[in-house]
Amino acid sequence: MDTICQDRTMCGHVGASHIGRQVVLAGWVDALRDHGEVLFIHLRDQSGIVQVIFSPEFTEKTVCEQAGHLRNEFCVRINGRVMERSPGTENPHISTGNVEVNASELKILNRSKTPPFPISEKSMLAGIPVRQDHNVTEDLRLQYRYLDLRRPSMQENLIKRHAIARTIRNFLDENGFIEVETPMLTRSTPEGARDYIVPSRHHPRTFYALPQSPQLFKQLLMVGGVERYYQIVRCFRDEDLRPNRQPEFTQLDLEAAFIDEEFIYRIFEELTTQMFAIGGIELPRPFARMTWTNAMNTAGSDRPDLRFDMTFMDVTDVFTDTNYAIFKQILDRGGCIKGINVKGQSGRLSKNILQNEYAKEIVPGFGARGMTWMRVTDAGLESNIVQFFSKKEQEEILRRFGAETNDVILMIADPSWHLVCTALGQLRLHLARRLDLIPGDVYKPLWVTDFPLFEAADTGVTSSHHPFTMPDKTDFDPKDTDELLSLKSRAYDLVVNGEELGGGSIRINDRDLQDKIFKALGLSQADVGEKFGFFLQALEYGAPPHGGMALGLDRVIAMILSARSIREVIAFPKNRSAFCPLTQAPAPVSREQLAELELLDIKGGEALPGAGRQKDLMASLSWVSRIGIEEAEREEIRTAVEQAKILAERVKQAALENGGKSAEPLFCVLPAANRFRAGKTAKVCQLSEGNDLLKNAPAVKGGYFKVASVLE
Amino acid sequence: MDSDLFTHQPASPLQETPDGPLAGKEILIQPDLSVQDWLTDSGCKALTGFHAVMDATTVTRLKAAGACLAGNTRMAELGLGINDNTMARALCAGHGHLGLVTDLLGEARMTACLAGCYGFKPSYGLVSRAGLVGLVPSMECTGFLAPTPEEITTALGVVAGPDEADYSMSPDPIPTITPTEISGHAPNRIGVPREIRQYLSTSAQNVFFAALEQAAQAGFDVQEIDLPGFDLFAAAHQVIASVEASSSCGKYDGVRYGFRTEDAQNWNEMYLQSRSQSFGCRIKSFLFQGAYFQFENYAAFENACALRQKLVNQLNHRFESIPLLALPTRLPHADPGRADTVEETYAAFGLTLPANLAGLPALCIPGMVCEGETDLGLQLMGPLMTDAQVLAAGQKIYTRIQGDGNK
Repeated sequence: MDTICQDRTMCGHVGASHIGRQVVLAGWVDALRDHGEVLFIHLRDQSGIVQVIFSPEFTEKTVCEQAGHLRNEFCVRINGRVMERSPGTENPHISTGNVEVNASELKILNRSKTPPFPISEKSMLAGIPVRQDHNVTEDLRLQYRYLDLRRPSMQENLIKRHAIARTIRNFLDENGFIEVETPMLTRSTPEGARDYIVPSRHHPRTFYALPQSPQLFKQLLMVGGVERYYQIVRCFRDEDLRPNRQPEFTQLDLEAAFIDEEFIYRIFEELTTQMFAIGGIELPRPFARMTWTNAMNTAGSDRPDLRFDMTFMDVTDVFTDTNYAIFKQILDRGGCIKGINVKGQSGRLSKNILQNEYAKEIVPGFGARGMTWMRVTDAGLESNIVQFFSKKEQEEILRRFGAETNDVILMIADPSWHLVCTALGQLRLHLARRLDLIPGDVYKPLWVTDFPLFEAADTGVTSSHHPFTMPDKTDFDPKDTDELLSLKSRAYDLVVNGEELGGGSIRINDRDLQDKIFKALGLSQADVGEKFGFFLQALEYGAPPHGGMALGLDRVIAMILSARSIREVIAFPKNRSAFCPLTQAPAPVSREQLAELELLDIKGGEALPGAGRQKDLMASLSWVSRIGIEEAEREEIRTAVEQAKILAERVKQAALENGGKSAEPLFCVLPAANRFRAGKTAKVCQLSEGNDLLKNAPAVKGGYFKVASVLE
Repeated sequence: MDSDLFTHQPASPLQETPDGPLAGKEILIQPDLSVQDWLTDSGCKALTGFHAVMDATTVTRLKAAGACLAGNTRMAELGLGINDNTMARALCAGHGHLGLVTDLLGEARMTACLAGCYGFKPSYGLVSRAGLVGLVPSMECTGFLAPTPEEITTALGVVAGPDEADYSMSPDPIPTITPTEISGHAPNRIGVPREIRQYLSTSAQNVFFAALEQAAQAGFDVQEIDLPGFDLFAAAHQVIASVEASSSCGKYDGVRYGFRTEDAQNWNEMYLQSRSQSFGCRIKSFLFQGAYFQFENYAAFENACALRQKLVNQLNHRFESIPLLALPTRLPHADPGRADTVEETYAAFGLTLPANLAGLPALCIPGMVCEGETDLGLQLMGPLMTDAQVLAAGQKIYTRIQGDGNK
C-alpha cells in the first residue's frame, strides 16, 4: 500500500555510510526554513532528525510546489539522495548534522493542525541555540500529551524508563526472581492511605479497592512457595494532593523467603547501581547505613541528605548548670539542646537575617518555639543572648562545634527531643538550600535501619510502617505502651540525597506474634478476623521466614534522569490536582450507570428529597467562589440563591424571540474590537519599579507578597 | 475632618492648576475612584486600608482642568445601591459644588434626587473607567451631580473621550462637549412608556404627567409609546451584574492588598476566611447569585445576555422615531437608601437600571416630580452616545424652570 514505507531508513540513522545513496524516510516535519525557491526541513522520527532539502536544482517542480504546502508536524514520506554537507554548513545540534537529503519525492501522509505549542527542540542552524524549556503550561502539555510526547526530550525519557525497567527484569531474572501479577480488584489493604474503590455490579453496594500495594498477596506468594517474587506494579493511593505525587504510581515490588536484611541490601545495592548507571550516575558502594535514632540525632530526619555536612552536635550537657532561664526551664522538663555550625557563613547570615527571619519567622514555622544564634567573631561569640552564658559555657560551645571566626552556630532547645531534631533538621536543609551548600551531581545512597516499631497515638500506639513488620524482639508485653514504643522494627529505607526511594522489612511469619502485634494496636479479634482473617490463616500453614522491599519507580527514574517532576517520566500522568486534562478524568457518570450499581441513593432514605442537594449547593457555591458563610448570613444568602433560580427561569423564557430561538448574547453594549498597543518594546509599569505595588499588601517579605503556605 | 460624611478629606482641597474650565470648582468623589495616596476602599472591608497608588484617568483630567478635589464621601459597599452613601448630604452641606458617583444601577441619578440637584449617567464607554474600583464592568459609569446641566456638561466635556488605559472604550475621538457646542441640539420629541403607569400610584402619575406638561410647555412634543418588555430589564440586569460582580470580586484575595484574616493555617483557609469576612451580607448574597449563574447555571447568564440584546434592539427601534424617553427616577414606595437585601435594592432602582443595561445616557432633573416631600425625579434618556442631546434637552428644561421661577 501507498502509505506503508518499504525499505525505510530511520532519520536518526542517516550517516556517512549513506552518502550518495537513495533513501526512503518517513516522519514528521519538525521545523522549516524557507529560502524562496529552496526549502529546508527537519524531518523527525523516533530515532532522530535529519535535514531534507527541496530545491529546483534536484527536485521536480511539482514536488517543490507540494513541499511549499508543508507545515510543522505534517506526517510525510520522502525519497531522496543523501549528500555530505558542504564545509561550514554542518549542524552540531543533531546527530546527522554532517549529511542532508536532497528530496526527489514527497508524499504527505497526513496533514496537521497548527500545534498548540512548539514541539521542535533542535535548531536548524549552527550557532542558534537549541530550544530549551519553553513557556508552556503543564496542563496544556498534558491536554495534548500525544504532541508533547513527540518532543525528543520526552521520547528520551520514555526510552530511558524502558531501559531501566529492562535492567530490573534482566537483573532479577538472573538472580532467580520471577515476576508474578497480583490482582487490581481486591479489598482494602493496610497501608494507611485512602483507597480508590470500585463498585461491584454483581454484588450491589459492595466495593473492590484498588491496591495501595500488593503487600498481602506477596506475603501469600511466600507462603505459596514462590520463594523469589517481584513485580513492576501499579499502586493506587487516594492521598492529599502534593506537587510531586500521583494517584496511581508504579513500584518495583519484591519479596523473598529464607533471607535476611543483608540479602535485601545486596540485591538492591547491585540493582540500583545498575539502574542509576543508565543515567550515567555511579553510586558509591557499599551504601552507607545509619540507624533511625542516629539519623534523627545527627540530621533530624528519617531520610537524611548526606551530600552536605552541618550535622547536629548535642550540647545538652554543656548547659546542665546554666543560669540562662529559658534553657534551664527546658532542661528541668527533661528537654535537650542541639545545634549546628554553619561554617564560614557569618558574612551571609547577618544579625538581622538570623533574628528577624530565622528566629522569628522561619524556625517557628518548623514548630520550634525559638532558635538561639551566635556568630563567631575574632572576639568570641556575638549574639543577642550570649551575655546570659557563662564564660565556661561559651568556651565549651566554641570547642564542641569546632568553631572558627566567621562561623555561625545555631541551637534549638525544647522539652521534646523529637521536636528539637525535626526542627533543626528542617533548618539544616533550609540553610543548605539558601546558602547553596548542596553540591550538584553528587549521589549519596543510604540505608536507614532500626525504625521504631510503633508510634504514639491518641490512645495507645500505631504501626510506623505496617503491622506485618518483624520487631527486633518478640518477648514484649502488648499492654505496656512504654515498652511498645521502645521496640525497634526490622525495617529499612533506601534514601538517596534526602529522598526516600523505597523501603521494606523482614515480615512476621508467626501467627502468635502477629496476634500479639494486633493486640498491641488495640484491634479486636473480630476486627482483625474481618479484615485479615484469610491472611492470618495462611500463616498457620508453615509460612517461611521472609522479607522484601518496594521501590517507588517513578521517583527513582525521575531522579536518575534529573527530571523536574515525576510527571516528566510518565507517559500519561495526572496533573497536580489528580486530574487528567487529556481525558478529563475523573468525570461524572450517567444516572443509568449509577442505577445499575444501585448507587443512586446509597445513603438510603436519610435525607429529605432535595435537602441534601440544597446543602451541597450552598457549600459548593461557597467553595467555588472561595467565600465562607457565617451562620447568621446563611438564611439571607440561601434566599438570594433561591431568587437566582427564579431569575434563571425568567430570563430563559424571556430570551426567546418569536420564532422560539434566542437572540445572540450581548456581553457589552459597545462593539468589541482587537486593540494593539503602538510600539514594539515591552511596556514596563512604572509602579513595578519602586515598592508601590507592595505598599498595600497585608504582609510582605523580602520584596514579595507573603502568604500562608498552600498546604499544611 | 467630618468623618461621618468623609472617608478622606484633604486639609485643603487638592488643586493642580488654577486655570481651566473647572477652575476652582470643588469636586467630591467617592472612595472607588483612585486618587493617589487617598484611601480607596470602595466602602468594602475587602479593601481595608487600600491607598491608591496612582490617579484614575478621570481624576487626572479633572485636576488638569483646574478642579479642586475636596474629598471622598462615604459610599455603599462596592457601590451597589446608595445605602450609607453620604454624597447627597455632603453636597447639601456645601462641602462641594460637583459630585461624582459611580452609576451601575442608577446610584448617581438617585443620589441627585436626594440632593435636589441634576444627576447624569453618561453613555457607557464615554468616560474612562481606568482607576475605578468597579463591580459591574459592562454597565458601570462615572455619573455627575451638579446644580445645573451646564456644569455637568462642562465636567463631562473635561473627562470624556478615549483613554489608552481603558480598552473597553472606543479609541475613536469624540465630538467636543461644552455648553456652547451642545446648545440648540436638544431634540424636540419625548416618548413616555405607557407601561410606567402600572408602577405609579394615581397621585404619582398625576405629578409625573404634570411634569411632562411643563416639558411640553418648554417646547417638547410629548407622546405615550409602547415599550414591551419593560418589566424584564431588572431580571436581565441582575443576572448579568451578579455574574460580573462575582468575577470582579475574585481579585480580593487578601494577598496584594486589603483585608486578610489573621489565623488561617493554609492558603485555602486564608482565602475562604478572608473573603468570608471581607464582604457584607448583601454583597455576599449578590456574589453567591453570580456564582450560581457562573458555575451551576451558565445557560441563565447566556439567556440574560440574549435578553439584553433583545431589549436593546427594542429600545433602538423606539429611538428611531423618538429621540428621548422620559421616566421618573424613583419609585415612590421604595426607599433606595434603606434597601437591605439584593432584592430590595433591585426593586428600588427599577426605573434607573434600564439605562445601565443598555448603556444609555440618562439625566435626572430635580424638583419637577414631587410627591409630598419625596422628589421622584424626571429622567430623560437618549440613544447610546447622544449625551450632548440629552444634556441639551435638560438645559432647555432648566432654562424654562428658571424662567418660571424668575417670573
